[in-house]
Amino acid sequence: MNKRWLPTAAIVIAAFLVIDSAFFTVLQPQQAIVFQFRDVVRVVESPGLHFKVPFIQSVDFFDKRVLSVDAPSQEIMLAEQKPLEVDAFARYRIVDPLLFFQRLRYERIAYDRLGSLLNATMRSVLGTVKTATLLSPERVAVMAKIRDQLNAEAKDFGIEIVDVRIRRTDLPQKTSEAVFARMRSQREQEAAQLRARGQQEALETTSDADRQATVIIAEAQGKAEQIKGEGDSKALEIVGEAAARDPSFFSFWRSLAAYKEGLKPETTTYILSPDSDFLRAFRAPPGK
Amino acid sequence: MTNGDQEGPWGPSGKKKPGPESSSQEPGNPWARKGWNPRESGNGSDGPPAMPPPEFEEFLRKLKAWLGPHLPRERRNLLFLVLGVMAALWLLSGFYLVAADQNGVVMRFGAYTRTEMPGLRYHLSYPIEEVLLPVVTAQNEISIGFRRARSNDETRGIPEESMMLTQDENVINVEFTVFWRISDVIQYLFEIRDPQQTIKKAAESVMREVIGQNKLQFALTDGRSQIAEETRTRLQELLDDYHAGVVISQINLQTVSVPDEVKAAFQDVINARLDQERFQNQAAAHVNKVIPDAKGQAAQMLQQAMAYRDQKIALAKGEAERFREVLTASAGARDVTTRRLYLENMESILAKAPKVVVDKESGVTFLPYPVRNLPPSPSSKEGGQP
Repeated sequence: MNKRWLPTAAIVIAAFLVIDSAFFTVLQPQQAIVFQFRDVVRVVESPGLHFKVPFIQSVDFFDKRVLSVDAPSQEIMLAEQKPLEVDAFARYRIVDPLLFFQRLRYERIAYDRLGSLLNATMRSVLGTVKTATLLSPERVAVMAKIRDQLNAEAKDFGIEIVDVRIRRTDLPQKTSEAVFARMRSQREQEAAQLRARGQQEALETTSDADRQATVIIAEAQGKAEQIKGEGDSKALEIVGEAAARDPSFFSFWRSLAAYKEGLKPETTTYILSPDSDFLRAFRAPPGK
Repeated sequence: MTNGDQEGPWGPSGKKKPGPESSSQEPGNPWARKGWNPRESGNGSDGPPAMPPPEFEEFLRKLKAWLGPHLPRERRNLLFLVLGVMAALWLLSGFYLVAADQNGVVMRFGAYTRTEMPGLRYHLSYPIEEVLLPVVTAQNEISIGFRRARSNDETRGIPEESMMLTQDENVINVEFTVFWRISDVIQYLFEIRDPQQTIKKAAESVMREVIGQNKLQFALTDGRSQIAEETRTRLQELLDDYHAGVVISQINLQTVSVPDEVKAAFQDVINARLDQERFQNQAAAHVNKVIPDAKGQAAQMLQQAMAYRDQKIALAKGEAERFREVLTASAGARDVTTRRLYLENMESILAKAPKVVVDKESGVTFLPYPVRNLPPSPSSKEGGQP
């Protein structure tokens, strides 16, 4: 029994192998090249099930999607001798797999080649660009220029550069030190200005207030003197009015008050003449 | 919102895709689960992946029909039974479930055929058709400029990613998060090889572009929301250009600050502003003291003056009234009154003072009056001549 199995099994397996080698699937994101030994037979771009001659023909697959290559950060000299650390990435597609295979063969090689091409192109384009330009809406135009230049070279490899984007533009170490120093000094200046202005305004305010205070007091003093003067003049008027009734009597009466107040007994010695009016009674008593 | 961490669009995957920078939550290699390793182009290969059993069974089925007549009956029946069961199993393997947050992407011999909505679906079994099940509704996030620790909520800054140049050539520190989700499944799966990395790189590039067009002060203060919005818009435009099939829901600026090296100087400006306020407050306090004081003083002066005036007038009135009364009282006997007044007053004036009576004829030789012969006066002061 077993022996009769063998030939049929062998035929079956052989058939299976042949069929297996005659079909290949191209996945949605792939494209393929069919080779016959070393020669290219055809390029297959549509996904799905395809046929080839078993064993004699082989297939190589390539990615149809957008791929990306990074140019690691490097120091590039911009226009006006300004160095900048630039980090960019490019995105590309294999549009002509045949050309790609002929020139580059493996994606790994493509990655390296494109990487160094990208670097070279960036250097040459950025060498004519000022830092300020990269910090303006023109940045997009610069990136487009790099892409176009890169595309011109990449076409030979069956590659289309979809775009190039500058990721980081950073200052090299020593320049960033200088920039930090500048940022610091700008802030210090601003701080000093604020304080000075604050003090000046404060001084103005206080001086103005002091001035006002002086004026207020001076005016009050003037007014006070005026009021006192009113008092004085009114007082004179009142007494004068009363005195006017009998001026000589007033004068006599007022003098008496003056003597009383002005000649203090403790401090005055009187030398009187017997002829004085006060001592009149000494000389001539009434009735004599 | 879930991270696309455990489940890439193509389900949990064992291996992590080797990439230069891995962002915090990244679906694994989209193609790994199904065994479809994207062959690096050019490595060459000779056909479809290794044949899994179902294919073999199909051939065996054909085989049994062809072999049938050559086998003994019992063996043949057993063989037919086994083959039949296997065939049935193979057919049944075409059922699959599309979860509520997934889409089913069906490929026939590798070519995209159709998209299936959530539910129980059927496809022609492998190798004819196969299905990918990406999660399409989840919102993913990418952190740029910082990393969040899993265990707690601490963040760690990444200066290379976060330091940027502003328009006025100053250095600023920006840490932000990009929230995105798949909008077009087909584009997302088949247009770009590593869409996650592409989003991240593009986001970095766009953010730097936007920051580079704004000044430092603006970005630190009022400009934050504008910058976030502009980044989102431009990033979306860029990704649409790439046909990435994603939508950026939001850009979240976690931190916008100045580098550590200059923080102190910036803080000092804030302090200077506070100082300025302080000076102004002090001046205001001074004003509030000095002027009311002056006014108070002024009022006091006026009060005193008025008091003087009123006093003066009152005294004058008193004096005038007193005189008038004396006048009235002495109206009939003016001389007598006069004499009486005179004597009374002189009496009190001379009462306690030291006196000397000198006859004017004999008094000539006495004068000038030698001071030392004066009778002693009560005070120590020597009296003067009258």
